[in-house]
Amino acid sequence: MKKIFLILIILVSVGSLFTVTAQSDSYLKNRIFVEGLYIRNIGNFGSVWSNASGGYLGYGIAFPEHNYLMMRAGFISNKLKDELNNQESLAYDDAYLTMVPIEIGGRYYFIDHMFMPFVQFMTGLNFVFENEDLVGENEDKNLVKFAWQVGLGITINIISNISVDAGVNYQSNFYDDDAMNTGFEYAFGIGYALGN
Amino acid sequence: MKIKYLSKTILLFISISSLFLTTISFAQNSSFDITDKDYIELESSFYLSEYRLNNNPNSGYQNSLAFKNQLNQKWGSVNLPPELMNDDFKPWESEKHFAIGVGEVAILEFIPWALAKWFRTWEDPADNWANVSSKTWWSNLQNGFEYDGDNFLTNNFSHPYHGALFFNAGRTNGYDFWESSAFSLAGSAVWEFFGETFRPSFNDWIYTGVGGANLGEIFYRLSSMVTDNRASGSERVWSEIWGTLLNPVRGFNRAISGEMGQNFDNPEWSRPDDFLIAFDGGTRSIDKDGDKNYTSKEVEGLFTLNLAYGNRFKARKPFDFFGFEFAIASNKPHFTTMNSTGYLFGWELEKNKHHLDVSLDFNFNDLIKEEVSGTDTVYKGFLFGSTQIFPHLSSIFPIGEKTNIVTRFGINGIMIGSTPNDFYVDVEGRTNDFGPGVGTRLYAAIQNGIWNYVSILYYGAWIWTQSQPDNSKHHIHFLILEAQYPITKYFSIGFSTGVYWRNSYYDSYEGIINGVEYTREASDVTKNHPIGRLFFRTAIIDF
Repeated sequence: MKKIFLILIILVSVGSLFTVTAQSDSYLKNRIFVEGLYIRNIGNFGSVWSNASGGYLGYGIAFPEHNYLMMRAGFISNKLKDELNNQESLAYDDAYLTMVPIEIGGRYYFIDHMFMPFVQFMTGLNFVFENEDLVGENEDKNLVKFAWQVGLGITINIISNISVDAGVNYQSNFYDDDAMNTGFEYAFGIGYALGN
Repeated sequence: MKIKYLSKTILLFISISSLFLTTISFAQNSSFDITDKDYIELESSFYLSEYRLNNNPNSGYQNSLAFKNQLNQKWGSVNLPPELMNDDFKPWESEKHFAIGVGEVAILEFIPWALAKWFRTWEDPADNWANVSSKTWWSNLQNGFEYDGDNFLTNNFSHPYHGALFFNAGRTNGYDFWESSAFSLAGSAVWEFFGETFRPSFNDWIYTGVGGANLGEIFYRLSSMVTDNRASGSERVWSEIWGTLLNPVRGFNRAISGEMGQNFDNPEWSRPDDFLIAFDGGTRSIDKDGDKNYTSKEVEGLFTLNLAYGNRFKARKPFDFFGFEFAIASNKPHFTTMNSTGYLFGWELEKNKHHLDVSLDFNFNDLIKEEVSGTDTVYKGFLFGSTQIFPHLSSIFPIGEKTNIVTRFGINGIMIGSTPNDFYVDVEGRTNDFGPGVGTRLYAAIQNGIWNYVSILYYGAWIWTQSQPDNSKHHIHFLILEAQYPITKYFSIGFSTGVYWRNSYYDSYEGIINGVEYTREASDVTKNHPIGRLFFRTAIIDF
């Protein structure tokens, strides 16, 4: 986790160098945000790891007039399908599949308003840590895989510097040629705007 | 992806050209009357272009054409006087037209899909990949990306060209480079997930989305450069035709918006301060086997078009500077090279001396020589393709009044690279592996004006195979030394010598690919292909 925070600090620092000062009367501002997420996995991947939960910590840079450059790092823990979990055998008791995505991408805000709907695209790398593969073989593995997602959402500017985000994303991350990490992510978060 | 984008694109182009030709109105602005005085001035010019050169704010650009008089004599020039320009005309691209842009992407998706769905004859109707349904859509969403088995040309040229059309659906509807990239990426993703029954192809998405943005911006800028909004008569007609040939989507938008029939100022950025077109002709010798015996040489004619747009040290916006190289060989494969590099963003470290830039590069080098004997086909030679970014430091060191040493070195950040697989040929024709990569590039040259007296280039990269069969990695290298001697201001002779070598490391593999069982023993392969060239080079246009 230390590495994640370190990377995030670097990203935020670098991002600040390229900051375009948003107009003070605009709702589109540079923000730090924290998001919680739930993923419903689908396909062959979802037939073993049914869902996942976790969160992101990120930083967004506003570009006039509708664009938002985002960088984020996260932590996602996948949950084994109930049928596998409920087996009397203890074979999968300690099974885990954890992902640490580090991503860059952007949002396009349709309007600059208190309620700001957006489309979002994120891409980057997924650092995968697992001790159980999809066919049930025990093996500790660390993988680095391409990750991307696209989706829709809304940012609601509650009070001056505080906003909340909600969104739904489709993701098609690489994992195995016959079982990509596909699914629908539901995210909810809070953002804090820097400056006026 | 099964679709043969190229043939579909030609059909699409013919359709758009037809519309364009029926719409064009010979750029006569009917709301203005040409006075007798204007006619007299026009007629009194020895060369008709003289009038334009004396009255056109862009005359610096026109004057600098190396063979401007010949061009003007050929095309004619009956420009309207400046006071007759429509200053109130609002160019189409000055506003964003989201619905039209999306609609054009939809049309560009629909035409090849409809041709496959309703007009193509399928031996087995079950093979019709256009029979999409909600079931195939959900299946594609569930399965996600894979790497497809299309051949090198389809992946590395046809897809980027189709992506360039998507890109220009945004670019020629008022969106900037970055925003238009979303059009090519989104257009490609929609096609991959919902336009075919096949599982979406990751390599198609990158080649179409990112390669399309690269090629699309080049076509956009070239098209804008050759189109002269201030011209009229036959010169205007030809400029619109050339512009539409280079960028059919832009031509379409100019037709439907009426821009083809209006006289108004050219955008300032559309006339770069620096522009060079050079043409090479000569021979190339390559060793096909790559076994270090150098006994399997192939000598062929090679003709290359080199294009440099803008000045890399003055670039501020994406593709303010770009380079483009296109080569045709006399032997197969005839279409052998298409490389480009385009400025994305950068920082000036020291004025006119050191620049830290990031460029978007595209490489297409197909020197795979197929040898057919009986029922066997052997693949010799080599190929290399990449869609990549190139963060690099560019420097100039003056060593004479007009002579400089120029250097560039940086990192190849390869989003997707293609390099031969020595053991596997896909049932659909793919002979190469796909994967991301990283490496270094070094370039140095002694430059005088438009000529490089001596230059040296090293390009290296590691590619980690992601396509099936995976479990392999490739370390590739290009080293090329080139020398030129200018005989006249616009003509030089030269030679180049170099080598492409590759170390490939294959782990054992056992699996089923496209329904065919495939096994491979672990092995390492080294290939070494010397290359030599003799050529003459002439600068066709330089300013």
